[in-house]
Amino acid sequence: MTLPEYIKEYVAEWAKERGLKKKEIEEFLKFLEEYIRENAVDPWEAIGIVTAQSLGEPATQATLRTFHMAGSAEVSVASGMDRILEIVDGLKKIQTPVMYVYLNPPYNKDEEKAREFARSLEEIIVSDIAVVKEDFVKKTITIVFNKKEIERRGVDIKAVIKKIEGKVKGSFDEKKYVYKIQLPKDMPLMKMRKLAQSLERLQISGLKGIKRALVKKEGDEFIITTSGTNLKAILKKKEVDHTRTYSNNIHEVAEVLGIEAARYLIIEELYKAYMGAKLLVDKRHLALVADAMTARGVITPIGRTGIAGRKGSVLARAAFEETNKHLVEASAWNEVDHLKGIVENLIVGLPIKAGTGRVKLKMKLR
Amino acid sequence: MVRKKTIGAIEFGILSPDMIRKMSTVEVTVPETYDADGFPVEGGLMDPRMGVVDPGLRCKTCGQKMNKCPGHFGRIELVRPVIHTEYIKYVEGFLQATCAKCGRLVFSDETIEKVKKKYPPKMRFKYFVKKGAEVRKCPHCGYERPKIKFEKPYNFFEITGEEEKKIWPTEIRERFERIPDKDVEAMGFNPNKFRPEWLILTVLPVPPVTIRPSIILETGERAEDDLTHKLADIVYTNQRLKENIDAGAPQLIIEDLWDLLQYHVTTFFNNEAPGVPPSRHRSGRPLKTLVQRLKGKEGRFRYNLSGKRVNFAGRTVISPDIKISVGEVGVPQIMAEEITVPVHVTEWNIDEVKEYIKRDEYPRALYIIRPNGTRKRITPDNREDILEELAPGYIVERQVVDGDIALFNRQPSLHRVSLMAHRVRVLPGRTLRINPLANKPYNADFDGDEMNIHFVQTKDAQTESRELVAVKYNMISPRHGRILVTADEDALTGMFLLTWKDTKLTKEQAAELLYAIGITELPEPDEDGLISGKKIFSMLLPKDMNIEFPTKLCEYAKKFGYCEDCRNCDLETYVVIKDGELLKGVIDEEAIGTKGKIIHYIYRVYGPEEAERFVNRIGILSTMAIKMLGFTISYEELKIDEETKKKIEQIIEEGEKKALEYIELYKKGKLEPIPGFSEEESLELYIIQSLEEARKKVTAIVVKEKFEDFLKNPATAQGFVMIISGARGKVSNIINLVAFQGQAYVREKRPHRGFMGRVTAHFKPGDISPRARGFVKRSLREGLGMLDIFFWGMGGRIGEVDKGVSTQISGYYYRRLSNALMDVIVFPDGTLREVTNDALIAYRFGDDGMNPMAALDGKLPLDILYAKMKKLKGEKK
Repeated sequence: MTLPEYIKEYVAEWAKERGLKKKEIEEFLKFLEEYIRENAVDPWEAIGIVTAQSLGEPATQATLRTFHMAGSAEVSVASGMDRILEIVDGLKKIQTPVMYVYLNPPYNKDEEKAREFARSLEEIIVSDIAVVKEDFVKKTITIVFNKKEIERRGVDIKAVIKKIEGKVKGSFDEKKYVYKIQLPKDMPLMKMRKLAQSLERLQISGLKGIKRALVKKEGDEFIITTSGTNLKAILKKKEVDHTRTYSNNIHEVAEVLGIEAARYLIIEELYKAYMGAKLLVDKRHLALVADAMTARGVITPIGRTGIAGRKGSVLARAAFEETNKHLVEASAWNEVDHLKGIVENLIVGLPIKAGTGRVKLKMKLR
Repeated sequence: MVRKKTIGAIEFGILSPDMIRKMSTVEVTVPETYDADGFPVEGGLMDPRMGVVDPGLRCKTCGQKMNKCPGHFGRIELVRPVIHTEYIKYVEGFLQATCAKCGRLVFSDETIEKVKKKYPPKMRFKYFVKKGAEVRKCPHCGYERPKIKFEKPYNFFEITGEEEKKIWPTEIRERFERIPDKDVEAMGFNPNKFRPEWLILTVLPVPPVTIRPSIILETGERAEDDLTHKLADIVYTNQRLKENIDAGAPQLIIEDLWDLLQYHVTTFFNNEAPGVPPSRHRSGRPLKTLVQRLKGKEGRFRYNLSGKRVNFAGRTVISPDIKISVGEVGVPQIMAEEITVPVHVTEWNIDEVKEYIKRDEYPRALYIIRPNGTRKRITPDNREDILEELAPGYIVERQVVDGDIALFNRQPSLHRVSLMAHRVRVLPGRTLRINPLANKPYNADFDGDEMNIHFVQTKDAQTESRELVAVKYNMISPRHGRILVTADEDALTGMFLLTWKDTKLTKEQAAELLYAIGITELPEPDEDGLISGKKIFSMLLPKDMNIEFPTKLCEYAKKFGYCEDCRNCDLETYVVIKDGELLKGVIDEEAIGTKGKIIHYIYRVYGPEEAERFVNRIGILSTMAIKMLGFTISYEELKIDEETKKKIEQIIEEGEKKALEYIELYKKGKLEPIPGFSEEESLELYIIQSLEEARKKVTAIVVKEKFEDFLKNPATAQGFVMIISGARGKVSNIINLVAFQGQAYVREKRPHRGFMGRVTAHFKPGDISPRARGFVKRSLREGLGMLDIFFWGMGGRIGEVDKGVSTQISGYYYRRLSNALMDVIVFPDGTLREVTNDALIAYRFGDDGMNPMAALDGKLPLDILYAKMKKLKGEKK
């Protein structure tokens, strides 16, 4: 086994500080290799339960509620117990979908350009900049634009009108900033309401799903943080550095970048959530959770609908949740419990088949 | 010879009516249980052929007594069949997917074959049911199938045109009997083990009396088990139904009784079945029937099977004892006298064992177990006989003595170090004693905590306990690699005071300290004849130890510009240990705390045994030192001089003024909102910002002053010593004591609920000034006002409520996690596999396969590992 690159770098940095010679470093690296090998997790160790404990025990100390730092104008990100549960439950709809969009030069060094690009990402729909009013008697729909908002968001009103005209024809009063649509008198009310609603949701610019995009300085470059995610669309933009751009939506990442990326994201997001609550957990444990959740090739939640509910053992499932359901099904389908796991053996009173319960000792007779 | 058998696998299936009859020893026909004389009625629910529950009686089937007889099933022949409602899903499935007339699956043979190839069993069933419900014409016999409607909880109807006709269980059963085995198999079932008509019960198994024993109340009355009550309902209804049918009663009455029978059978299996009113006891309490016995936290699975009660255990209050090792547990004498440990008699230890038997007092033997398994209590009368009889192969149970191994546990057992093996130390008193430095893994304190102790019985278990579960091998947390069994709180303060540069002890004092940890040699005194605390501490260190690191103090020193070059700092902020001699620096959390450099160095370079010894010694030394040097916080210490006080008041005033300015701006509508926030939200943020800013400024001033006080003389700033050494407390605590309390928060917001537009009646509605929303300008030293306490109490209450809620949520999270991951095991090739599904989870644990205990905070502790390498190299030479 050779040491991974990041450890070598880490050691090199440390050695520089200490002023070690090259030979000494090499010797040390060799020692570390040996050390890691010697300190591998033991065969038959029930590492799963150790991981569960390492994540479960600190969770009892985690504060439930998200703590927002007062006064910051940043995109808020869910943290604490809420976020942890979101991740392990494999929720598709997360509370705060966020992207960190890294930019290619020159956008990453020029704040103005970055800001401009950020603005182009924000999804603007008609209801953001206007109020849609319906008159069911006169059969008219009036779109009253908010001039202040339009200026603030830098929207081109002509483009908006064009978009609306692509849907229905009407007349635009430039003075009043009002767009009036006269519908045929015999139009059913239902249809009218649907039209009005679709006008409200009409997308004017930006990417679907991105509610806010803010420019932030990170190190010596400007990045964009967005609330709302659309990884697929953003990676196609030429301004975007697609190698570093990050979305916290696990399902989206699994879809766009694949399950391995999702695995990595689960580790990162869990780590952030735990560290955010000032709870330290070794990343190896988080990796095991991520591995278990992604081993099937799709995101499998922890819990009765996911991993715990798909155990190969009837007894293990029955001992967890929905006891009668599992027993009834097992009997109907003539299932057999081969007592391979932990609780099954505990239930029938046998030594568990892990750790020292898995090995037998034989005396070597001389 | 008796051949021992172990369970290899458990197969689940459904009992056929034939099987139920074969199993049965009695047909139960009488609803009565006992007759007037108190004897069980023949053919009743307590028929002695189903087993006995009364002591002294013999089972009429197997002839054994109460404890030996396993119990035997009986049966009830149901006059009219009823549906087993737990399987209603399958009953419906078969009705929808098969032809009522010819019994075939309503698909062509080709389709059946195709589906069989395409889908696994459970999906096949789903497919046939879903598609079959829409098939109106049977492809095999051409029968025009009416639509079948399932009405919860257990009725089926056939719809032909406008008409709805109920399909009674008899009809369903007849239809199911017509389904050929091959179609049952095609639907994914094993026809030898599962026939659809078995789901329609014609005969009901009566569980043995042993699982539903009656209890005799104090009044002498017999109280029957809930199951017996339910069975009595069934027998009674069944008999009535039979009588009515025999008497040729009208159809309506028969159907009503039939329905009632169905209801009773349904609730016999599950009294919480959806849509079925629960059957109740006379008192109104719902009956606990079969499913209720198994289900949930108090059910058979979680209460009796996943967790089992044990013998040889004890539980009592814990108290601290610094003089026993962290690897030991103090067991009260009375507990030690009560509990035994088996000793296997061999020719090598027979004399020793005999000594135990001969004794009258405490460490003596209580029982002997003969090779044939009979157990005998040792009494003064039979002692001589037993000594005579004793031979290798016997087992003697003797009282617990010093050096035995015991598992020690505190609930909630959240991680594996909540249960560790300690060596027994039998002590006087009535509490279990534990070294306070071993508290952290158990999360224990001594305000009345109780802990459990289990005396390990078998040799295998004892060896495993000593070699794997012992405290010394579990000092490091597998969660993050920090050391859990080490100094905290007062032990840190004590060590800090002892190793502070000004601490000098007389020879007598030094001798007292060192003798307590078993060192009988004094270090060389300084020129003034005194011995510095550092020298005493150095006595604990291995002689070849070399390490340098900054202390916790360093942070503060840097913050206030006292220190730039760490190595040449004379503020005690940099620890230098050379050849096992503490030359510079004070010992604090960074040295011997949970991620302390020294403690990790000793554990990882010198091993667990040495670490245990070291921890024991710092425990005693620091406790003795803090007693000797004294430690207290005085009211004086909380005072600040007038000048700084004025300055602080001014800062607070300014912060408040700034907040009020924002409010003014907001009222005029001139407040510039923060992007993404409304004006109201922005205002709140601005107010909080200005108040917190004031707090920050005050913190800087107070900490600087206290730090300077501390540097002048640590004795005048002992509260600060606690913070700096990492023992307890935060800087914010000092601010609250000394300067001002600051803003009270309720869910991260200023308190705002209560009356309309105001929190209390002391303010005008709409007043959102800092004062009206929980900003407290007074300090704890000055004393809080009534409103101040009220505002701060609001936050405190929320905290208590949240604590209760979050323990529930995180408890469930933990349960799910452990159930999901418990079967993931490391295989000898290093891969991780989920054993129940034989599924590969990962090639390497955490990508590198390393045990997190070997790392520290997720990283390799390079300094320490380098030292270890050097040491190993030195040893080789």
